[in-house]
Amino acid sequence: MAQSALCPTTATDLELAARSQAGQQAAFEALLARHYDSMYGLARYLLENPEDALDAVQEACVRAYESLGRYDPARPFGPWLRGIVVHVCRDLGRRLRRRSVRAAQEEQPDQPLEHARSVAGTELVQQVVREALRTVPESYRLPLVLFYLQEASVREIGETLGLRAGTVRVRLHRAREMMRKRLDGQLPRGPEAAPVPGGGE
Amino acid sequence: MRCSEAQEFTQRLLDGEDLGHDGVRLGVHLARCPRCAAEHGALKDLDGVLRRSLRPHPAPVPLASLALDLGGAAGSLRRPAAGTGGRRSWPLALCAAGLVAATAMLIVVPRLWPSGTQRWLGSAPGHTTAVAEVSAGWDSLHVFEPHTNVSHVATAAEALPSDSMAWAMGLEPVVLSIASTGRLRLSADAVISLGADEITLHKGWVRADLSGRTRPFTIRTHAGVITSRDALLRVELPVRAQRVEVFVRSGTVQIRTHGKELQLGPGESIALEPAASGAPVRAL
Repeated sequence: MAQSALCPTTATDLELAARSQAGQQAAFEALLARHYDSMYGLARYLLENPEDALDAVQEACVRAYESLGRYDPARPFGPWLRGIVVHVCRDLGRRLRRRSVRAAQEEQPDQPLEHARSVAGTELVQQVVREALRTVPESYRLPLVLFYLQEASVREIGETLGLRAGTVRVRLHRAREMMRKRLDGQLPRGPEAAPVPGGGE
Repeated sequence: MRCSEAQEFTQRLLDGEDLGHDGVRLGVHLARCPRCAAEHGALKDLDGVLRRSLRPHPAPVPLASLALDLGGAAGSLRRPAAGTGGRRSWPLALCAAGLVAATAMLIVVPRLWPSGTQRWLGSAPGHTTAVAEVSAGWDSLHVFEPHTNVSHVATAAEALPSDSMAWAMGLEPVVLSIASTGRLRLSADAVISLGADEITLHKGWVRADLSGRTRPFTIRTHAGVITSRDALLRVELPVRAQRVEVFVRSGTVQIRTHGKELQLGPGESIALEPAASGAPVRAL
């Protein structure tokens, strides 16, 4: 496709998005290149499987391309794109859960296998954290993942998830509390973190 | 400052907010209140653990591979300008194309395979040999044949040549009938390479019913080679683990791993670890 002068490395997201909306596919691909790692990282945490995450990223790229007409250039592009990734991951996650439930029903006689393989590798802190994170409800887990993994600000999380900043803060606080309870006793704690009796005003 | 305020400011601090003068007040409060100081320390510890643990995974494939796919999709999508009503016209085109393809398949496929399934097993035309047939879940199985360099969704009773690669991506279980008797049931996320009297399992699990075979059948994995001619067994590559798990329901199974030969009988199971692991074999 013939393109006018475009420098993907120096152009801002908004400039590239505007060119994409004007029909320049190269501009859109430059945007994707800029956000690819971020999209994959998010999908990987939400779906927990590399292949599923790649499927989700690919689907999100197509959906984003389809939805470019609805993108508001007044808003940052990254959170908008992450919002699409989150939606795709939710859809795909639901399908995968249905599939795994069905597979589990069909594989009833093999259940001891599931028990047998639940123990290996749990010493790693990262794995403990991921296991704990998996048990946090999605509405709390998403802000937490966006905040820590994507290093998104409270405002950006709000734009990604369509929430107000206050709601994001509340969910972040509750998510931290949930993680704290789930990780209690499973991770080494610093001396300053030990409970101190008494005190308070 | 009250303790409840201190806790709120601590959370806002973790959220990345600049507290300004309230930050100084918080510091003063923490210096005087051991309980809030402990709470603050615990939350900061948690914050550090989450920052260190929630690290992004590097993408396993370059964007170029996705961009190519996107290019194909985008070319056919013909994205309209904002607000136009034509955006949803491509699914109709896709459905129409699918209908045409399905009709063509109904006409062409029976002519390619007139009757029966054993006719082709082991005697497919060309330079490859058919080693398995898709007997269930055919619309869930994707097949790549290196000699044609083309991948496609498997059709009902399709003959799979040796050297082909298959991966399950659907909702239905996939069952393959293998040459010289036997059945393989694949998980919905399985990836396998097919050979003559053998498969290589790259992902997921496979349940093999090899009872009544005249020749041994082999399941290769990165941690060992599993062979049997009469067993009902299951081989699994657990997600997020390097080991291979083998469960034998009936019959006998020979396993070769890291230069060792093992034999498993009915009801026995084992975990095979990759070469780098300190303990290559352990009981499950």
